[in-house]
Amino acid sequence: MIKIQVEDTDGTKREISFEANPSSNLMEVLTEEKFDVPAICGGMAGCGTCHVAVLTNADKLHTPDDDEEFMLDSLPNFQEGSRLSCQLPLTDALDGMEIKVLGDG
Amino acid sequence: MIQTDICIIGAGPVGLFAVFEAGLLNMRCHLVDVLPQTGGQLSEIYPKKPIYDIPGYPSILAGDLVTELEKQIEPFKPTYTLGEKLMKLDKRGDRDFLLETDEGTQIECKAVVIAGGLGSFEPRKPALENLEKFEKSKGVHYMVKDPEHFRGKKLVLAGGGDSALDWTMFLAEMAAELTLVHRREAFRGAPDSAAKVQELAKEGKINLVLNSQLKSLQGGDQLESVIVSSKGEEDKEIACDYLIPLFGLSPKLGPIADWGLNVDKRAVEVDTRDYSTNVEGVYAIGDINTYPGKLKLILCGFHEAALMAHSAYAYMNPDKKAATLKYTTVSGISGFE
Repeated sequence: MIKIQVEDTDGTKREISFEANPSSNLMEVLTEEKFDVPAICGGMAGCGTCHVAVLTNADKLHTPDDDEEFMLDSLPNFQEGSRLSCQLPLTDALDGMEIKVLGDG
Repeated sequence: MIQTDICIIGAGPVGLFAVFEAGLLNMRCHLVDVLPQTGGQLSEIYPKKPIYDIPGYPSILAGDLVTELEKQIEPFKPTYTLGEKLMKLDKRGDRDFLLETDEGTQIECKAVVIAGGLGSFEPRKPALENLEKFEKSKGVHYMVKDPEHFRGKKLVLAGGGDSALDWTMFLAEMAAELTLVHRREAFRGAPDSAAKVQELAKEGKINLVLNSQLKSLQGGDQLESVIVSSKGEEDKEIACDYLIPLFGLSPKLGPIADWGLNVDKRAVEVDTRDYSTNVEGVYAIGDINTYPGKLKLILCGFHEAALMAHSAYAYMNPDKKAATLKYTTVSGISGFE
């Protein structure tokens, strides 16, 4: 079981847990858990509305691919640790991570 | 004043298909969309991505689906107001609505269909404290509507995508000074454009400020300068008449929230019998609506469009009996003149 700490756009914090599943991604978990993640494009790195800041363990994650980089570049609230949660598969690398939902800017 | 039977807000796939379903029942449609082109997110976000769950198409590119839908609805002669945002929805009586866009275009219609996806695409704004103070012709513009407006002025553009690069190239000649601020060293926009922008900088026609972010805005009544923070350097002040942040578009529910409809979070509540809202004569179909079991799929939106059209027909024709369901295989299509 993977556990992570999530801060929503309204500042509330909650721990959520889920099973590792490389064919699913963090955006899907966040929307199911009703965080403020509109995820308009449904996971294509195409809209930037699942933008999160990874506050801890960011170095354990794979580096963003071109599509993700491109979208991150266009987000005005980009910050250190910025990632698109739809591009983060549910692997053990996420365990213990703290993230902040940044909304759709 | 535009007059029509049904005004459809949102020209994405579901809005377009609604023209077809309405047309079969002899109702004319006018479409309004904030984007300058049809197709909604299919054109704006993923035109080159394949969609695999459109019945009859094992795979179709999003952009091609839009083209095919336009072909399919052509016999019903839809009319369009593109690049304008619907601001006002005023129900003046039964079968009598007056709608108005941000550009003042007025549309009179008998029924309204909201097919607005997740809302209207609006420019993403940088997170700057006093940004609002300088909006509305005080110096901050999120799009370039009339390039002439910027002739001979000192401009700061921000962003690294195609629109930032394209406008940098376009405005470089006209502006008195142009500075492009970008967060990274390299640009992600089209390589050709990125090379041209680098060239312009070498020739001294523009200033490139890379690895940098907008930090704050300065000025009295009008914008006078922007402060930019760069990695490992002291903050810079850049004097300017205008700041044009170009960070792409993001959908917002926008004015829909003010039309007296029951809205749950970012979606309009509807009755699944006919996808009508709490305001009689106003329907919501596609991603913009919500109901128990809702799936945000294009094909569900198509189904919703068909049921909506039959209900809208009954609403618009209270003295006639309900429209008979006719199969296109039997009756064919009688388009409008």
